[in-house]
Amino acid sequence: MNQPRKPAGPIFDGALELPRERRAAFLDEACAGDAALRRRVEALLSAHEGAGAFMEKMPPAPVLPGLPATPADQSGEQIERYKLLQQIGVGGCGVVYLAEQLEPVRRRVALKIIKLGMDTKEVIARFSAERQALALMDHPHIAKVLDAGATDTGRPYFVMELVRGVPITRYCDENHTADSSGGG
Amino acid sequence: MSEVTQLISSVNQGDSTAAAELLPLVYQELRRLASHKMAAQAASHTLQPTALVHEAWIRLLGKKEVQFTGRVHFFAAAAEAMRHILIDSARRKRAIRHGGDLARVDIDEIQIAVESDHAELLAVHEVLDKLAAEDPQMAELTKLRYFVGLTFEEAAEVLGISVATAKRHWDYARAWLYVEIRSDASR
Repeated sequence: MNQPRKPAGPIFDGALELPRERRAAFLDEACAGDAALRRRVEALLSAHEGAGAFMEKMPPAPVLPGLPATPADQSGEQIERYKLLQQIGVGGCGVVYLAEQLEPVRRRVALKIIKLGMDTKEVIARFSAERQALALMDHPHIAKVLDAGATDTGRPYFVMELVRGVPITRYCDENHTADSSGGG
Repeated sequence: MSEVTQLISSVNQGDSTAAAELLPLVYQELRRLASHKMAAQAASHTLQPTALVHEAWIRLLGKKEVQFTGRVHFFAAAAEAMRHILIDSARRKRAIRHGGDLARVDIDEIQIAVESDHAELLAVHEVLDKLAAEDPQMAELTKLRYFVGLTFEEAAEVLGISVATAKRHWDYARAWLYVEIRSDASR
């Protein structure tokens, strides 16, 4: 019961075309004593005013199942004088490869490259800061930065000495440190 | 004549089973295109529904230029397919964030914003069928704008209405959905 008999749409449209101060009089006439209809139109009008950013932006882009969460493996490709041999780690914005430096000396190195699609200005800035911070450090327990550059498409990368070891979480598990959760 | 073209012409002639057959075809193509792009680009935020739908159009109908006029059935199917893809993705993301995968939780502004976008998407999805029952054309417009990202001009052309009508419909649909979601939430 009390369902509005006339559709609210045309009245809503009509009210929106009027300046706010003339809407009440318009609604009086258009709803002609139908209180339910009037409430309905008023609710819609106030939703129109109060909805803010509702539906203004498209929903987040889909992520599909069955696809690797990690980026496409670029093993086998070559970036300047480095041949990527095998993906050995993935971080928030970068991927680390075991790589072979081809010149001026041949040696195995670790090459960290910004993930495809993550190469926004902000992430690139963070990536460069990391590169800079590492380059400034000189400690036997911190991998040295050997080289840095950018791919043809502008993705920055840097090359570090290759350090073999176990992930810190596994180290903690295996050595029974107090907090093996990795601090998460 | 491609299968999709045939289906579209059957739908035009009032064959309702053709419409039901069109949706999975378009869905499949969108999924295929999306996963192909994901594999190549590896970043979810670079997936553009509008571009995907246009590409699906070209692949399925073999035409380089997308003319919107009279394409209502293709776009209706594409919008519905995109809706499913987006909803599946949002549900999965939500499940992950709520404990499905404890290893990956990044809490920062971006994630929080995305979380609320997912909530909005799911809420709109829940009440959209009700709007469709009241006014199918408005619901269709909502899907074209919100799930596919068509402009008012493009959506108006697909639906065969004026741009002004499309804008009016959008205002009404948005207010309608907002009221509905709020009353659902307070129930």
